Amino acid sequence: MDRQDERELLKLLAGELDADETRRVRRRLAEEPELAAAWERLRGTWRRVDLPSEPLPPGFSGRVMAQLRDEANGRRGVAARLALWRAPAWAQAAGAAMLAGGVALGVVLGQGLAPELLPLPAAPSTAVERVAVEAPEAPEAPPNEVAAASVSDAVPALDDEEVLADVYEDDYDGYLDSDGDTLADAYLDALSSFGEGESS
Amino acid sequence: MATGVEESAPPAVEEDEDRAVLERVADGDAEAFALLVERHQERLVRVCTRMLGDREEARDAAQEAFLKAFRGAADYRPRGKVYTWLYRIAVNHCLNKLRRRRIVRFLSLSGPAEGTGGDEAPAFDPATDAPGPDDALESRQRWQRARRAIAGLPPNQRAVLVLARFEGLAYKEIAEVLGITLGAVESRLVRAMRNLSAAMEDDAAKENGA
Repeated sequence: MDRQDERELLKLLAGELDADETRRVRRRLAEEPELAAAWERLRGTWRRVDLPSEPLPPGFSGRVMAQLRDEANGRRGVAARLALWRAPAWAQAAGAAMLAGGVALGVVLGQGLAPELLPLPAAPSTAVERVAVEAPEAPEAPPNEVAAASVSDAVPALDDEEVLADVYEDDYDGYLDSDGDTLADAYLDALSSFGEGESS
Repeated sequence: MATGVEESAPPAVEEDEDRAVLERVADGDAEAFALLVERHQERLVRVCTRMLGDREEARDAAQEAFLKAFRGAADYRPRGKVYTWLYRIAVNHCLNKLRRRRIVRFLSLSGPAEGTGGDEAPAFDPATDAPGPDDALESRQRWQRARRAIAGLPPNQRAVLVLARFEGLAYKEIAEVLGITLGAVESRLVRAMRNLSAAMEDDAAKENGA
């Protein structure tokens, strides 16, 4: 049975063929024993893939509505807390003036201080910065090593599945290969084939 | 429509009512949202259960899908039907969950337990209306085999199979739900059926060999 026949039989099974197409395929099934055998196998699999009817969990709609209320209350709570921070216009203007005055005073005083009394530069935060501060006399690292350190800082940790999933969902959403699979699907299928020997 | 399904698509009158209800939901009408949940809860819980294979996880997924629908109701554009839009939200949510499960499993470098297909969650053991204990046992064994085979499918194939086989959606509707072409629906369903057939044969051979 070729791929086209396989698709056509599946369409017959799924009720996707119109009356004329159905008659044509049924006629072929009566005339071609090999196709008829394939049809029986396909139909057998379709029937065997059977799952029981699950009753709706009691109180499901109530739970959904309760969650909606909780979310709405949460949002109202946040809005109320934010409102407490909203000061009248005169108080906002006074606050801005005080802040500006403080900054100006800091600049004037800072200019008069000896260099040794000036604040120290901020502590190094990245691996590259730490290397630069702790070993100032060492020869400069080759550019590729610096680049590698920067990349390792930027790439999410491999054990963060949320980040990985989001990267694939966001960056490649909408990409379809010839089978209509997204790139994320293709990637994950490859992962599972590697991990489980799964064929798809 | 597909054969052997539990429910087919709702008629046009219901679709008109759904759109009217959704317009009210978009305005933040909680009563209208309760009505939307009542009308579609069975469908969404069922599709999530069949996608995820776990009753509790499915219930949470369906609940989250409804809340996403509430938040996104204002953005709904009446290109497709309301129920396919709801299916889309629920199925996408389940697909994300399944993908994360697979990544976690891959990163933990532990394969699936022996005899399971892969994404299989704890089994549920529903009551059966079979007349005798032997028939009931046979039904349960059949369901377990089917569940294992479905759990072994890649998520994208599983989604197409569930929508076609159990939800009775037409190819066109499945394409709309999943945002793929008709050709991709056909291709995924063909691959799903091949994989199912092979998995069920393996399963039967193991049972006979045991």
